[in-house]
Amino acid sequence: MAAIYSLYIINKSGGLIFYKDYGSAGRMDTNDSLRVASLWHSMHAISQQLSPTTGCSGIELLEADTFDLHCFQSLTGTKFFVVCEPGTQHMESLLKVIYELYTDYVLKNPFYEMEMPIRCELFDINLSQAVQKDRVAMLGR
Amino acid sequence: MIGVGKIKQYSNVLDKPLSKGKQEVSLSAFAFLFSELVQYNQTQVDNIAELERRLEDAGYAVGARVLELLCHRDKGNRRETRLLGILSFVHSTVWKVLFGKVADSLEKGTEHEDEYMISEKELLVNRFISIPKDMGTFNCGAFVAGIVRGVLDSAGFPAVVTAHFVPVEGQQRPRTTILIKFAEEVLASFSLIMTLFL
Amino acid sequence: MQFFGGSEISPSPPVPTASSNNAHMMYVFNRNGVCLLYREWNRLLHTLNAQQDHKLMFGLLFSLKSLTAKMDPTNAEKGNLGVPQLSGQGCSFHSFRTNTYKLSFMESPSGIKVVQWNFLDLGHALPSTSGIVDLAYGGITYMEMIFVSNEQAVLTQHRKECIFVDLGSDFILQFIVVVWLVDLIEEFDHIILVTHPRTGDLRESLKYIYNLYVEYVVKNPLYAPGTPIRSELFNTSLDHLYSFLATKVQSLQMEACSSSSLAGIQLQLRMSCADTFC
Repeated sequence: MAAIYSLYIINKSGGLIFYKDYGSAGRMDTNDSLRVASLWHSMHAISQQLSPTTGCSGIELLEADTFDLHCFQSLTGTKFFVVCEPGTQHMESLLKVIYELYTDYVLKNPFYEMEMPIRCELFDINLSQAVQKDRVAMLGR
Repeated sequence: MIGVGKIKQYSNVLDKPLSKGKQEVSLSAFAFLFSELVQYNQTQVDNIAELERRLEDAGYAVGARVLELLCHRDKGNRRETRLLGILSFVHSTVWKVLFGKVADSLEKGTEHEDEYMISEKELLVNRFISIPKDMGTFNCGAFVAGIVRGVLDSAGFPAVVTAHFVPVEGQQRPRTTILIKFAEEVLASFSLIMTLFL
Repeated sequence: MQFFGGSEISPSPPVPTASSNNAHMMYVFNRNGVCLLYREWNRLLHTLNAQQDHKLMFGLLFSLKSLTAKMDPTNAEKGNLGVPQLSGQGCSFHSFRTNTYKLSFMESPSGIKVVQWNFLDLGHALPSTSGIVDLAYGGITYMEMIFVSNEQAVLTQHRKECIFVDLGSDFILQFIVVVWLVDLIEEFDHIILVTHPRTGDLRESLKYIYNLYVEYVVKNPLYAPGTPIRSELFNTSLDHLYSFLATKVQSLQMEACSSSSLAGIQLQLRMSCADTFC
């Protein structure tokens, strides 16, 4: 069974720019994934408003009954989140690895238009390797 | 931090030893600059061949300067005059200065006498670049091809240099081959020299 | 990648110093989104007025529930996004965490009830080495709360389970969690609990607060379901819980700092626990 169910990348205005499914039951269609992404964007913003102290940067981990959702927001407002099995370890570091891949293979690609859906072959190749590696590391534990 | 740590002052600028050059430069900074170069040129053209030509021209200027610099620095102001000499100069010295490594291979074309190929598994300029499907066989290695053309041209070996993707068996990514086709007069003078020697 | 500097990525802004963060909040909602109870302790920041704050909180919970129901990766039949779900139907969530607070959530069979809580500064509480329940300091105060309740002869139900969690060294203290079985199932709603970002799983604590609610509010013949809760007993016990948290955590921190043997404290705790429960 897959440890990681899916990965989303949302741009700073809440639009889904990357979605990859790693084997969850009943895949979401494009419209649904777009809706989920923008809903998450607003939930993330509301959670900052409700903070009892200053300096809240939004939801980092959502624990649901059947999955965990880890979210990482970059300084520019791009959000990365993975949906994984409950209790999956090292997701924060995986998200940082994915962020690094994004800065390398997406932002440095002259043919990528900012805030648009990501279609970069090198990003896909390196991403699948990173996710694979992570899975291997967990199996070896 | 220019000037920091340089205690010794030279009264005459000519006494200063020749700079070895900076060994390292930020890959990210280069990648972003190159990305901007490609993006800028993309706005100036309406077809891919034109874009390729513009990148090559940008590289040409680099090549011409690199030749001057390296002849001065490494060769004691002497220029390579033999065909194979200049090719191995490009393959090793130029590549090492620009990309930190020697090129993966230098081969002679099998079909034509006047063709040579420099192949690189992963060209540095292509490290972060994914070519969209609608751009076909376009290769940002055109910039490197331009550098090679600049070096060869300035050294007196005019040639047509192009960059191509060549698929490799068992590899996800194709390698890049820089194809060098020398002008007729180069081969002619080359064979003339050879006959004189023989 | 060849970078000049370190290749460590740290784009998140620095986390505010945890020592000042001992704000606690608690919400109770019924299923219609009416806020039955709101309590706060040491809340520093009020960005909105109370009514808007409650509305936003309920909206957040409602939307997150429909989001998790839609995203459930183990179920192929997910229905449409935003369709209201019956309680217990679809995949729900039990907590989320930001860098400044943690919100835990629980729903009872009858509707929605939110209990939001922010525990004291748990900056010194390291992650538990044991995987069962990870309450750290929160667990100790929670245990103390049970003592208080016992004095007031409130918890008359049977003990459901007793979990010993042996936490390792490094400032993590040992504690006991007792879950009380609630016999009374009447007007049940949902419960949510929010804590300091570094606290562990607080579902058991939620059950405890829910238990208090059942005792003081539901069993009260003068309480009309769906109206704001004005139970003095309930409020007092919540205040007790908070003040215990404040004093107990502080003294424990000081004691543990000064004491060279942490094992001694652990032993004492274990003995007092044994006295109370066995």
